[in-house]
Parts: sequence; structure tokens; C-alpha cells
Amino acid sequence: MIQEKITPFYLWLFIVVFSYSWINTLKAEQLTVVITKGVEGALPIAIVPFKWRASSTSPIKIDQILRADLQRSGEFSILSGYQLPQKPQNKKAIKFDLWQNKEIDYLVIGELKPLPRQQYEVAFQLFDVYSKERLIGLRFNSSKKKLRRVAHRISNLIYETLLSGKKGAFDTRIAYVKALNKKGKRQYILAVADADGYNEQVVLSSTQPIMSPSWSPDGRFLVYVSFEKRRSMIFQQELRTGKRRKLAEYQGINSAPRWSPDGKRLALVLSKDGNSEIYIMHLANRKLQRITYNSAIDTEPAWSPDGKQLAFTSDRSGRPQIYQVKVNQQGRVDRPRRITFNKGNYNARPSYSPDGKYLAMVHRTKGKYRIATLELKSGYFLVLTQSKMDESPSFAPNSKMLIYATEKAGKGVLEAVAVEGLAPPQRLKLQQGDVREPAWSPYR
Amino acid sequence: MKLSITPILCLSILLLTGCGENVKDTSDMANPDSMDNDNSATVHVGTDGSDQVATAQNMDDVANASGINMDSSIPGGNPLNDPNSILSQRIIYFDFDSSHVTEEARAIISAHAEYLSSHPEQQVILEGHCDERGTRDYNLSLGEKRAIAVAEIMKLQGVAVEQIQVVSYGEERPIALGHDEESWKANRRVEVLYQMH
Repeated sequence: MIQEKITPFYLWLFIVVFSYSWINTLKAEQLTVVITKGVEGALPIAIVPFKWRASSTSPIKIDQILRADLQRSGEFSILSGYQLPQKPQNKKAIKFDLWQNKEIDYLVIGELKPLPRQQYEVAFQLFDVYSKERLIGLRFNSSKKKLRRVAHRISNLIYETLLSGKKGAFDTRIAYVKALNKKGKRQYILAVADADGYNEQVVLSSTQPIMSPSWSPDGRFLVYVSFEKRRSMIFQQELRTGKRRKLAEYQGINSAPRWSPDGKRLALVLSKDGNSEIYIMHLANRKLQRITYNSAIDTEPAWSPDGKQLAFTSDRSGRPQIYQVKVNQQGRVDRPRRITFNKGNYNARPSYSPDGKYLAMVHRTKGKYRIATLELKSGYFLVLTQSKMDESPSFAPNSKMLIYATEKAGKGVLEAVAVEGLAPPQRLKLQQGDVREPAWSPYR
Repeated sequence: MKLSITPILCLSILLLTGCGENVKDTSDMANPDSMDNDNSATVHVGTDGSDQVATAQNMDDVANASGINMDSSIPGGNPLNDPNSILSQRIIYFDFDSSHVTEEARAIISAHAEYLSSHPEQQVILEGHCDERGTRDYNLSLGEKRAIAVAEIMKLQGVAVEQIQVVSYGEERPIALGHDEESWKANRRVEVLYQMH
């Protein structure tokens, strides 16, 4: 409110200063609401606590999940619970002028009630506060186990309705690796969880390191590197059955597997010919095509969404930088071209946004490792994060968010940040352990 | 300083106890128990988020450990067991983001090379590691480059190709778990692991 009278330059200064203090949760949350408003067109929305229609305690707080989802997207400014002027349970009870006075554009109300046989009914309505029109009104039946998923679908619906056509990616998953210390022994776990960090399921546990998980385009499989035989090998695992297939165990390094968008090939790194080079493996017959020929380290391949290019990390110019090479079914089509210049002396681990607009990477500046995006058409380069150990950026399937690993208090944690806009990063709630290498799933 | 004497300490404990099972080390290299774990990896089913319950678990490709026994000690009156010998130094350190072998490291590598070339039956694993800075897959490649740099020096001094095995763990198996210069320094290394027969 004060901010609206400040000139844009000062407002910008405020944003820079305040975005550093986002960790300071309560204060930052309030600030976030103010900052995003009017600056990036974040939508002001309020979510009333869902009514629980039974005497027992509610098995889940749907409204909290919606709030966290929409907050994480960076597209909304959400009215905090204590600021709600009323808590209406149905349309009749809504006093639209109260919400207009709070400068809230949209309002969500809903309820949850138990049904026979461990089933639940979730109902929700989304209102336009100014036109007083109901934009959505839907009911879902669900088992207890799937209630969180229903909530994420509601988040999708709200997001898609209010952001005209952008697809929501709340009902997706992440794969990641975590290291635990169990009775003095290291244990490595490959896990998948919902995109908000809940519902963790263990895919593989090992006393030896696990690295580089990557999803198949249909979301049924993961490929990853496991050291279970005391050297790096690449495996493919079907999530539902646990069925595994060993894809690469060549002499030397077998690493950085990345599934092609058509699902038929795998980009990977092998050092069987003397040092780390990029290869493409055809999954039908495991035939290999060598893509790079350089005595420097070539690694971390990433497929462009059309499958016609690979970006990768190479230190052929002295320090790691990003290169791009055209490929087709026969292998490489042209010579690799460097695409990161004069932006610090270190850029690595590229990842294309699924819409092909951006390349995300790890960018080192003054000894700090941060996540940056390169807008491919314009060459516009933007550093998105502020800490010093950020790595492994992975785009949401809607290209609107990035998840990455960072370090807080000496521990690996995951954070998500909006690709466009100024919303501060949001920490994911994952259980114990040192978490790293997140990979965002495709839509499901 | 403290870290460079760790192998010597482990060696003496091994000699005193005659078995490695109770040896605690920051890496589990000195713990043969963990090396022989046949079920180092466990596959989990039904992780696709569906309610479907998986019935079969295909363990086709699940690992059987390679069965290699590694130990810091070689029995007998062997110079490898002499804590005063340069051969007791089994870790070679590197500068940040570098696989360049320093002069100091060269002396240690030469001593091992000399021993290995006069003991052609003896095999060794050179295990490359990095500090946590930089991306993980890049570091995996860098760790291999470090181990290869050590291997090349050994080969030039007459060690047979068959005696050397190169492995990289990148930044995945740090010795020191801190996030500071001291820990990083300790983690940028190649470990010389003699294999027991």
C-alpha cells in the first residue's frame, strides 16, 4: 500500500533488499504479498479454510495444500489466514464487499466430508470477488490416500482458470537422491515424492552412491547411476513393478543418463574411450553413437524438447561452459558450439525448459554456485537464486518453475522457484537426510 | 594433518585386532565388512504413485558384489605395513578443480609405483574423489581424471596396466563432511587401495 506510491526504481530496491530476507518466514511472507502485488501482476487470492463436515478431526487440510501450491508457483499473492475478514462456507454467506475492501480478486471456499467405506467428498468453489460470479464449482470423491492428489488437482484448476490457459503442474512428482547416516554407515536412497515434497516413496536403497535420476517421457521409468558394484553403472527401473534393466556398464565412467523426448534414446556419458564423452544409446538395441570427441571433460547432456539438440558441459575452453550440438537418429549432425560467454567463468549442467524457451544451468559467480536461466532467443541471462551451493536445476513440465538442490545449515535441501517473476524460492518439506539431484516428472 | 595419519591408525588397529570389522573410519574403505555386502542395493516396487500393488519383484539385475577384497594391510613383513614408510601414505591430494599432480604427490606416487613394479602380482585400485563444489556429474569425470593422472605416472614407472584399476566416485563419498576449505581440501583426493588376495 505504501509501496504503490513509490517510484519504480525504489520499488525495485525494496524488492532486492527484501528478497534476501525471505527466510525470515513470517515477515517475509507479508512482504511477499506486498511486493508481488502490482509488480509482476501476482493475483490476489484468498482461500478460506475448508469446512470439515464431521465431529472427528479432519484427515487433511485441503486449503493448506492449495495455499502452499499456489504460493510456490509465484503467480499469486495469498491472503494470510489471520487477515481473512470472514470464513464463509457457501456462496450465500460471502460478503463480497469485505473481500473487495481487502483488494482480493478471487476467493476459494470448500468443504470435506466423510462418506461410507473410507471415502471422502471434496467440494470447492472459486469466485470472482468483483463480478461475484462463480468461476468453478466441483465435487470429487476420493479415498483417503488420494486426498492430497485431489487437492493438487484443485490447485491445477484454479491455476488454469485464472492464468488463462497455462497448465498447472501441481499434480506431478519429483525424483531425488538422499544420503542418510545409519549407525555410522552411509545409506543412499533414490526416492520419488509429490511435487510439494509429500508422499515420499523409496525406489532404491543402497550402501553405495546413487546419482543422476532422470524420468522417461511417459513417467513410468527412472534411469539413474548406481555404484552398487563399486563402480558407476546405469540402470533403468520401472516404478510400478521395480523391474530393473542394466543399460550401461562400460569400462570407466557410466553417468548422466538423460531420456530423449521420443523415449527411444538415452544421452549418456562414458569414458570407455579414454575420457568422458557424450554418447547416444538407442534403447531398442543399445547401439551407441559417439557425439563428442575432445580430450576435455564432456558431460551432463540435456535434450532440447524437440530432440534435435543436445546441450552439455565441457571444460574444453579451460573452465566448464555450455555447448550445444545438433543430433538426429544417425548421431551428431554438426560440431558443438559454445553458447555461454562472458557470464562468469563457470556454467554447467544445462537443462532445457520443456517449452524450449530457456536453458537453466548452474552458474558460478564469486565462488558462489547459483541457478541461472538463459533465454535462448534473446540471449538474456538471469541469475534466479541467491545462495552459494545451488545445483541440479530441473524444470516443471509447464516450464513455469524450477526445482533445484541447495544447502541450508550444512544439509542438502530442495527449493522451487518461479522461472519468471520475483517470488522468493520456496523450500520443499522433505524428511531427514541430505537431499540432492531433484528431477521433475512429466505430467501424469 | 589429522587426516593423513588416519590410514596409519587404521593400519595399526588392523594389525592389533587382526580383523577389520570393528575399525571405524571416515570412509568405509577400511571396513572389509561393508565391502562384502552382497545386497548393497534394494529395489522397491509400486513407486509409480498408483494404488496398484505390485506382485512380482524382478531382481534380475540386482547387484552381486564384485567380491573384491580390499584392505589397507598386507600380511607379512611388508613395507606396506610400515607406518614410517612413505608407502603408508595412501591418499594423494589435489588442488581445486584440477587433476594436476603436485611435486609432493609425485614422491608418494613414485614410491607406490616402485613397490608395484617390483610386486607385479599386487593389484591396486586408484579411487578418484572431489570436493562438493561444482556439479556432480562433472565432478565424477574430474575424479576419474585425477585417478588417471596418478595411473599414468605409475605406468611410466613400469607398473603394468593390469595391476591398476581406476574408479571415480566424484563428490559422492567425501571423507570430511564439512562445508569449508579444510573439508574440501581433504576430499579432493585419489585413494591408493591395495587389493588383498
